[in-house]
Amino acid sequence: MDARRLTRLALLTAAALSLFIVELQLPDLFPIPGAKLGLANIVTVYALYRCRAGEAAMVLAARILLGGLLGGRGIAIVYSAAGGTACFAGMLLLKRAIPERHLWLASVFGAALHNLGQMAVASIIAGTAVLAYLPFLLLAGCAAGAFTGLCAQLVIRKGRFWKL
Amino acid sequence: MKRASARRWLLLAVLLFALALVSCLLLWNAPGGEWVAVERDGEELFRFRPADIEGAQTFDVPYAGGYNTIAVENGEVRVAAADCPDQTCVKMGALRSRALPIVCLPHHLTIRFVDGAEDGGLDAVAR
Repeated sequence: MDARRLTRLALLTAAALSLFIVELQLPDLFPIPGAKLGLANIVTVYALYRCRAGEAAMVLAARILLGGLLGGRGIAIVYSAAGGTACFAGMLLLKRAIPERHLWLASVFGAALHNLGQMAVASIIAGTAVLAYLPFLLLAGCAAGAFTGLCAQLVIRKGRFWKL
Repeated sequence: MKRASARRWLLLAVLLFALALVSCLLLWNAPGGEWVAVERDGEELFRFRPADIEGAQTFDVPYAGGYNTIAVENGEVRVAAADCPDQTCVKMGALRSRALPIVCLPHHLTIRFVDGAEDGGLDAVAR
């Protein structure tokens, strides 16, 4: 990997981490266990469409690990990792079916897969009673996924202009 | 061809959203119950009947150095305070539907309506 690519990945990771930390300061939008906006996934979605699969995976893994350490919410890292893996695997396939100009749509499905991954782990850790929140989580996830996807689309369009 | 495929995915997304919305409404409007069980990791700690409790009462459920304070008032059950990082259980308010437990993920705690009395009960906690 040349220095240019490495620098780009480091930049993406730094941007994702910054978004993650900023989001921690915002009050929770919905009183649903596990629901959040997921601003850092703007970077994940962008990297998925703009970098090689392995590179995007590295950015995601670094963000989850470092974010877990900096965020200090302990168990949250397990949910985050499960959701992130499900979302990443699914979106890698969706990327072939959904072109870049409909990226926000792929992001909606990615968010839904993230929720499914989270809930699978949550039902193992906290008991199956939490599964009742899956529909609520999915609603919030669809909205959040559309939002982060649109942001990523905007970044890609502006990025073209700035020759990133 | 490309456009048709994108429309199919959009349809699927809308379908997913609608399905989630309908399930939410169903879950939200499910009736409550007479007995409330407090569970950790899927195992029941104790259960009680909110109607049996006169006036307002609170009790703490300890967890590895932390706690959740459950408040019962006028037959309503909610988490009044907790030292978990996300405070979701507190913000969720009163227990209202059989299908929707109050969940504290950091403390692995769920509070939900259940059928009938079994062993345990509030006396077991008081002791």
